[in-house]
Amino acid sequence: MPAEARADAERKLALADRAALSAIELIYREAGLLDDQRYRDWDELWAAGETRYVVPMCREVVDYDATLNFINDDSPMRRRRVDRMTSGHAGAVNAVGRTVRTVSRFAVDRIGDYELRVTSTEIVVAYKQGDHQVWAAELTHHIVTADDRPRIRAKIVHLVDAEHTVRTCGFLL
Amino acid sequence: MSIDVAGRTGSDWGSLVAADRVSARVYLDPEIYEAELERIFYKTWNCVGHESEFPERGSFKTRAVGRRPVIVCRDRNDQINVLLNRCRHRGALLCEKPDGAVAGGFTCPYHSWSYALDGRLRGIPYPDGYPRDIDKARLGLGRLRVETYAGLIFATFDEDAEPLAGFLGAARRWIDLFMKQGAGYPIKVQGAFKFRYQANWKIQLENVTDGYHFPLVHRSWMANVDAQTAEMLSFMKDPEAVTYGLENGHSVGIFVPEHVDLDEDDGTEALQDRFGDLVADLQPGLPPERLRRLVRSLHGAGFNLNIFPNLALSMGFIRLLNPVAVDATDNEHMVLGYEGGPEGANRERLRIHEHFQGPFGFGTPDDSEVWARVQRGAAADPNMPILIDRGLNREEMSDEGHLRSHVTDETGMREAYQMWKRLMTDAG
Ligand code: FES
Ligand SMILES: [Fe+2]
Repeated sequence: MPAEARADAERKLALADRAALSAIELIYREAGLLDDQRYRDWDELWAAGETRYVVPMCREVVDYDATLNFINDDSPMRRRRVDRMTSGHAGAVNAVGRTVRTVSRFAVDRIGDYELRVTSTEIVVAYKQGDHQVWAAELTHHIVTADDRPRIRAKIVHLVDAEHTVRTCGFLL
Repeated sequence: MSIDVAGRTGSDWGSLVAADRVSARVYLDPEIYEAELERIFYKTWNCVGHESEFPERGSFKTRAVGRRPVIVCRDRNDQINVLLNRCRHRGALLCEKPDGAVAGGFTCPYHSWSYALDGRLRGIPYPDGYPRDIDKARLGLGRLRVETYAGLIFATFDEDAEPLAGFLGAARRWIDLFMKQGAGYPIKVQGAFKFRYQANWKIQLENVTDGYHFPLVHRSWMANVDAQTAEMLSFMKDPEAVTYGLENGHSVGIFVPEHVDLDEDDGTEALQDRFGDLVADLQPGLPPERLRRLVRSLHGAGFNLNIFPNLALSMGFIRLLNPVAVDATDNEHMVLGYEGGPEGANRERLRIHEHFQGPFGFGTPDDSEVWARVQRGAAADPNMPILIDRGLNREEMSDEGHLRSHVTDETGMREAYQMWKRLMTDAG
């Protein structure tokens, strides 16, 4: 799916396009907030109304609700996730050392008058207790641009190892 | 009681386990891990899956028992086989896919020896280099002995292992109760989380019936779910929330007493509001009793059943563990559903599973964090014992002859370590 979306996108919007640039800027800002574990501020980047934040377990899924996912959050569930992560009572979250992430290889596609689809890659290095872990994923963001400020309508995180054994995670991708 | 931990030789690991404590070395010593593979995992019955994962002839999954990779598959005669995932020629791993379906069997990637779904050697390319009367029957894949109980597939490397039914013993009754969560539909596995944590396998084994940690480690989950679900799992002071040591290392911890036998319903339990939409959807098509029976089963059975050494049946899911190193363990959490049942009910179960379980769930990451903490902390002094004496002051014998105490007590751990001791001493 991400590969096709990327192929589509490559035919569409130049990165120098103003709307494309502001979407990419949003994704950079998101990466910073997640590395800083500022989950409440991260939550503010999302659009009002229906949203979706998914980390699926395989690439071919069309109906996320019909399958098991690592994460399958609508707006209320995402807020509950933020509540947990900011509660101070989640051992795995408290134990997260530091993460640094790079997002890159952007390709932008217009899929509606006020909606862009952006595909990119994300590499996260997480350090904790003498141990460096690498997480790698392809991202697909749906960004709405109706307001003065772009916001996230949907985010799908395709982990490269989604179908295999992964570590448990105390931060967000 | 003291534990002798000095100058251990391979044959007296048993002295590391006492009735109320175990040496921390059982988590830490790579030599013990190696002995556990030989004496426990390569000897007893291990669960390697559920029949519903293999719906068709040719369906397969690759798993491992200890360090030995296996293929679990359904053959043309509908038999489940558990095959050593290793070519008989020069040893290549036959199959690397986590799961899938094949038409005829498995072909080695190296010199293309091909094997049927029951492990028989079918073909050798360019056979002129071998005697014309080469005995193919002797060159099949390694096969484990397989038996099933209630859809659970067990395998052992030991041809002389006791029959599965005897090994499961009193746990069978609890497996039967667990399977009642199908609510009249056959149970199916809907998907599985697979994750690794940095701790010895026994730390997770202990945790399956550890009610003690639940409101503490899972505080962020308890605060996050609806009040009725939190109330359902408030067992800390519930005298009916008990744990039983069964036999052969098995144990059961009851967290939701009213859901132990889902066929028993005095009608007083209110269906949870969170399932209101589902109830409204299903009401027109299902008689009220069936609807109630189904909705009461959405959280699964009201207990966690530990089957030594690698299986747990936990409320709405099946978990398998596999020790990959002394300090690393792989887990699978397989969420259950209703074969042919209402789609909405299956989806509710998926969402319940996602909420707590898995690498990004609201519960599992906190569990694996504390397990890794035990692994690192126990290393501070390998000779300092791990205490498993909680509840000895209130433990009693049940009418069926099983030790019983509160679900926050450590009866299940004591049961498991006595089995560990037995297997790690003479039998090996
Ligand atoms: S190693 Fe498998 S065919 Fe040679
Ligand atoms: Fe737990």
